Amino acid sequence: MMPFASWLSRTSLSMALQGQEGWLWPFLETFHFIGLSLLLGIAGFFDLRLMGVMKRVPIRAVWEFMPWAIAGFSINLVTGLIFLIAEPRQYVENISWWFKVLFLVLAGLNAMLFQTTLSTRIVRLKPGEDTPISFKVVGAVSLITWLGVLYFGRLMPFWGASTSAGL
Amino acid sequence: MAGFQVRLKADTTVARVHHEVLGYGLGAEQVPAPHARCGLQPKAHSPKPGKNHPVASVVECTGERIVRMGFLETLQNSAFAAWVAGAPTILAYPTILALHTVGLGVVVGTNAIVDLRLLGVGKDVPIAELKRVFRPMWMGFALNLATGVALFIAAAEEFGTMPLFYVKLSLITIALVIAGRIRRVVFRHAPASDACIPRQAQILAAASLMLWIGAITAGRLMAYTH
Repeated sequence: MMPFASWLSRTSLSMALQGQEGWLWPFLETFHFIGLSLLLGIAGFFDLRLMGVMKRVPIRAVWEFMPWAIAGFSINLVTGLIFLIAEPRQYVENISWWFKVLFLVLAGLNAMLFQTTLSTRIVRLKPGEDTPISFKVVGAVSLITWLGVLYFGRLMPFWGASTSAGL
Repeated sequence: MAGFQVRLKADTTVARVHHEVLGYGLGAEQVPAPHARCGLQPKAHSPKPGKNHPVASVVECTGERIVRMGFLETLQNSAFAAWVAGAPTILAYPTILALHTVGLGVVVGTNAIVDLRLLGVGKDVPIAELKRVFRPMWMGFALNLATGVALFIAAAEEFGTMPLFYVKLSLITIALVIAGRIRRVVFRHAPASDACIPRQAQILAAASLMLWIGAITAGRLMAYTH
């Protein structure tokens, strides 16, 4: 990864971003946190409903908000990629970042599993009906993995950051 | 200035102690000493406690300011602050900070659900059912109040004298008052509101979204104003 990170940090795009970090970082971070709120608040609410919490809330109703969670994720993917392009080495040399990526992949696979095999069953659930065990497992995995993404994202400056990375 | 140094200033305000104690993350030599402005270190890490006691800065201050600075100092010099800021475990400062971010996501996310519904998203969702998001919202807020107090105590002098911090608190306070108002205005007459949402509620919802975005912005900018 290091040769790739070194190459990336020397690209003109990366260097252009590096020159703007003074304002770009706080600006993008604010969006990254807004995206985080949409994703965690809305997807987390859906996950809890999948797990059988708040049964009286129709699951289809919560599902209708999911495009906004996906919007939050998209904001974070774009801003996150800009962070990575600007300072590739400080991320690829950071253990916490790799854990974040790992949890991101797990969360993504779990979401894809739900979307492809289970989501059609949502419409068959009646209001107040308990969710099947498969929904509960997917919901719990989703909640745990997204919290993992957040936790290791926040841990990056404290755990596993290389002293030489990008400084 | 390169990435993490720009990005993580406030996030690492207290963590600078970590860097010195544990060598976490950035090299200690590359970041300013903690609380350098007031010449204070949390007691647990101060090699010579009291040596740099900010007599000079107190002399420059008068009246109320002395009292306030004294209070902030007391907080920051407490054993609790020393633990939060300097305990050699990621369960102290880093995890409290992460929990604060979890609470942020829960509070703002659940508010966004209500606000977006009032502004026309998910029209099939019965408004009466949305009342249930208030419970996780208040749980998220309780989490952030607790973690926020801990984070504040750990760097009381820094945050207590930062105008942006009071901007953030004000925005959150107004946003919470509005959340309470939305609850009263909308949910008392929920069945009637499903088809036609009162204009007042829509204005409150728009204001709520703006205020939460403002609070996040203020919170993030706190990281860059040392």
